[in-house]
Amino acid sequence: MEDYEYIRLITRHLSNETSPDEETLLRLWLDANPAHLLEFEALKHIWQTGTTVIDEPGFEEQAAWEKIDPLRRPRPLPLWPKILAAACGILVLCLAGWWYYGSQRQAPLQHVLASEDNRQLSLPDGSQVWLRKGAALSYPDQPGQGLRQVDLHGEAFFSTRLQPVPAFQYPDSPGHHRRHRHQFPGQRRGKHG
Amino acid sequence: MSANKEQLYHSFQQVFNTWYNSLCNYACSFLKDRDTSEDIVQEVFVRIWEDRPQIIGTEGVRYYLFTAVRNNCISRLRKEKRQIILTLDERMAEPVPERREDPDYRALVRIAIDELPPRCREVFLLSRFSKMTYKDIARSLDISEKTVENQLGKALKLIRAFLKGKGVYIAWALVNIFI
Repeated sequence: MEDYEYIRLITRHLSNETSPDEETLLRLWLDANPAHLLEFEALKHIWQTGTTVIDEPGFEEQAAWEKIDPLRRPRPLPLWPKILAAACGILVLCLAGWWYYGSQRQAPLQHVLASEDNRQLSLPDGSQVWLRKGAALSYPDQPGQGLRQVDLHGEAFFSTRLQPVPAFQYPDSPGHHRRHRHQFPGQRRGKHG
Repeated sequence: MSANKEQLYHSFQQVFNTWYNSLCNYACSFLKDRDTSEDIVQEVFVRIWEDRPQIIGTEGVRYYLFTAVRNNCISRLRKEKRQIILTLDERMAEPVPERREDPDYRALVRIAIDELPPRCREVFLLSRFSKMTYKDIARSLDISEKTVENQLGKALKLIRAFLKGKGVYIAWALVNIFI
């Protein structure tokens, strides 16, 4: 048997990997020559020594066990309260964001320009407006709660709807309220509410 | 504690007592640092208890332990920007250890192991620490069983050659043949 082959066989034997046939082969090889037995014993000794020299004791097993002992370690907190808390936080943030967005958002404006002639139109709250030729009016597309605000460039005649809140206000003269048939010469910005 | 849990606990303790020292030595062969090695081994045991208690008491626990320790050691080395091969090479290129002058047979065997080629040394160490089968060693290191067999044979041959070079091998044989 070649040098490599018997070392392979001995290694398999020492690793408990040999088949019965290989054990027989090894036995035959050992019986063939006393020098083989000596070689085998020497390699076995190297193998065993190699195992003991690398695996020397010296680590504090008991101290290590006390560190990891499941009975002494604090139980890890279950995950679901953390997930629930995170979900609640996200929900609160979403609601706050939605509320803020809603409060900041302005209704889309309608823009009307009486370019060629006088023009009459109805505002969403039912008020009637007669725009003088050349006048432009911008107003919210939907009737809002509280103050009703329009932007006027030019002249217009307003017949405001009295119900439910008849007061009409324009920012140029705070506290000045007209109930109906208002007219604003020039550029004005009015609120009616 | 329920009866099953208690049994699991005792199995866990038994596994710990059986393998802790070997695992630390195995980790130390990568990291060269006892404290870090112990930390990694303890972490692996904690993970088993918390995440994979079903493997405690099975044959697979040994494979899991050694594979996890090896992987964690390599991750640790990578984190420290030290490649495992580099470390092994460095170790081989280290100045002549003081033990080289030690005529003690065990010390020479230790030096011979340290001077094995990296892959050969890795297979030999895992085999000797874990006593795993060729199949499990191959799975753990992601190599073939044939490679495991070849590397172990090579390790034995190289250690023998080293000892022969020191004149220890023949002396040992001559002494023992007449006992």
